[in-house]
Amino acid sequence: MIFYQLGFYADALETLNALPDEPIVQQWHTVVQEQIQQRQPRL
Amino acid sequence: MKAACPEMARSLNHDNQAHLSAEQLVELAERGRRRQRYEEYIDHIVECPLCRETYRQLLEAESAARAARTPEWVPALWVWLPAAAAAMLILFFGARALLSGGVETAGLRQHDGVWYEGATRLPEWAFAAAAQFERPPAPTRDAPSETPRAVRLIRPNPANAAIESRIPDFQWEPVPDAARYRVRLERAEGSRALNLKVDGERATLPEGERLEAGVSYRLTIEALAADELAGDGLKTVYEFRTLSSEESSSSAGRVRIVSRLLVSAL
Repeated sequence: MIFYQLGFYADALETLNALPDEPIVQQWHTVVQEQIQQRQPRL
Repeated sequence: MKAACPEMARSLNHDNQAHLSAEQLVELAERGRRRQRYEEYIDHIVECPLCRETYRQLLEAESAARAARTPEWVPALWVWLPAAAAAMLILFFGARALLSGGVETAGLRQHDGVWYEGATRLPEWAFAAAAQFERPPAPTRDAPSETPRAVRLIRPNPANAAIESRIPDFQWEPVPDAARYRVRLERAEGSRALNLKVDGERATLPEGERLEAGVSYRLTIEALAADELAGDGLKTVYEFRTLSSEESSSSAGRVRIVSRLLVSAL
């Protein structure tokens, strides 16, 4: 997951969405979604 | 049968029958208009309730008999042909995936633990990326809740922790009641903040400036109402890093090959 390694989480998610709905893809989905949620901006 | 319709009976047959005979009714139901004296028989059926009822029942029986006589393979062919084609496709691709172990597709193959595309050996990071795909990191499960009010960055995508461009064009959603914006950029570890050029809901680096490679930055966008002074407005901070020279020089190629690796690995 080069997108994940580089920090392109939105692109990683887009790639995962194009892959078959399999357990390992779902695991990656969870991990990437959490990274994106953690990137909420600070006020 | 007695002569309930004597006039018709005379014209229907020569045995002075009041009703159509069973043979006549059966033949009428089977042959319809092809039956001789069809119109005459139908005229009688219209006027004679008993013959009409008998004829109706015969028609139903004839219809059921025709349905039973229809060869079964005709509808079966329509139903089974697409199903058989789908099953063959599934078998073909399933067998191909099983036989190839899921890795030797799209021109990619693995030999002695090394990935090749055609005759070209792929670089180390490609193996690492393919290997990491099989072992996703554990979820952290401490994601913060949604922020209630903020200046929402649109571009670059704030979901990404990294940006490729060294001359980024920042764009955000309009904030209600904001009369102007103030945008500052600084290194994450702390340095003199740089004021960006703001145009509506967009901001760019000053002329001639560019971001350094492989550095983490902090972007602060402040939405100011007409009566607010700088520092009193709604501030939102985004952090991101630029790609290192090595990363940015190979990222496009990486994306292409890794995408293919990942798809073929599945």
